[in-house]
Amino acid sequence: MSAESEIAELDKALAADGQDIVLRRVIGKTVASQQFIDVICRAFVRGYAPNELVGAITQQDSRVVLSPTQIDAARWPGGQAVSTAQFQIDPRVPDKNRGDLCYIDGRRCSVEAAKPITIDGVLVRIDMQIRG
Amino acid sequence: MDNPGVYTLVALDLTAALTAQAQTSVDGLDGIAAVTLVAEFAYGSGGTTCAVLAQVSFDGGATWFDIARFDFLMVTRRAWCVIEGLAAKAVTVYATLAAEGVNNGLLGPMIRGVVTSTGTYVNTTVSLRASVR
Repeated sequence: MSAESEIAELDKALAADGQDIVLRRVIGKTVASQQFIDVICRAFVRGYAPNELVGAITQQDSRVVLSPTQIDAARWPGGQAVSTAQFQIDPRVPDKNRGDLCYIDGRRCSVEAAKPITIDGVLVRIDMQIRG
Repeated sequence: MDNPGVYTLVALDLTAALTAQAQTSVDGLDGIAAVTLVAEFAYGSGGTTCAVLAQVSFDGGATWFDIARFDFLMVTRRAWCVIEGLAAKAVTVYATLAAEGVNNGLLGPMIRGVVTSTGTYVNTTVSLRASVR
C-alpha cells in the first residue's frame, strides 16, 4: 500500500470515529515569554487496557493515533531553522523533550512518547502516549 | 488562492546572536492576494536588537525578496502589517528593507521568515505568523 493511500485510509477512519484534539508546541521556558503553536488534528484517543498498564504506562495515560494530514496542511510547527544536517529529527513529530502538549476535551495532556510511522520516507501516522 | 490559512514563519527561543537565520518556508501559495503578518516579541532579559524579516520568492526559493521587517529591542512588543498584492504599482527598484519597512504589493507563492539578532537574549521568544488569503 502506498503512503498516500495509507494516509487516505487513516483519514477516512478518523473522520468517522475520531475526535478533534489540539496539538501544542511551546516556545520559551518561562511563562512570561512562552508562545504557543497550535494545530487542530483529527485523532483516535483510547485508554489503555488493564493488561497494557506495564512499565511507565499508568492509568492516567491514553493512546493517541494521529494522521499527518492536518499537521502538513498547517505546516505545523513551521518556523524551523533551515538545516543541512544529514540526519534530522522530524519537527512534525511531537516530543516529550520539547515539552509538547495536547488538549483533549479541554484536558491538558503531556506527550510522554511519540512514534512516527513512515512508508518510503513519508510520514503516514503518529502514535502517541499522552498523560493527563 | 491555494492553501489560505495561518502559518507560523518564525517561532524561536532566542539565545545567542543570529545572522540572517532563514526559517523553513511555506510554499504552495499560488494566487495569494494579501497577507497579514503578526510579529510577537516576548522579552525576558539580555540581548540588544532583533530584526524579523518576512520574505517571498518567485523562483522556487532561489531568490528571496523582503516584504516586511519588524524590529525589536529590549521590550515586549507586538507589531503587525498587511501586504496587499492586487493594487497597481509603478516600476520600483527593489531594495532590502530598513527598520520597520514594508514592500507593499510584493507577494509570491513562497514565504519565509528570517531572523537577525545581536547580543545574547535570555528567556526571550519571537514569533512571526502569516495569515494568507
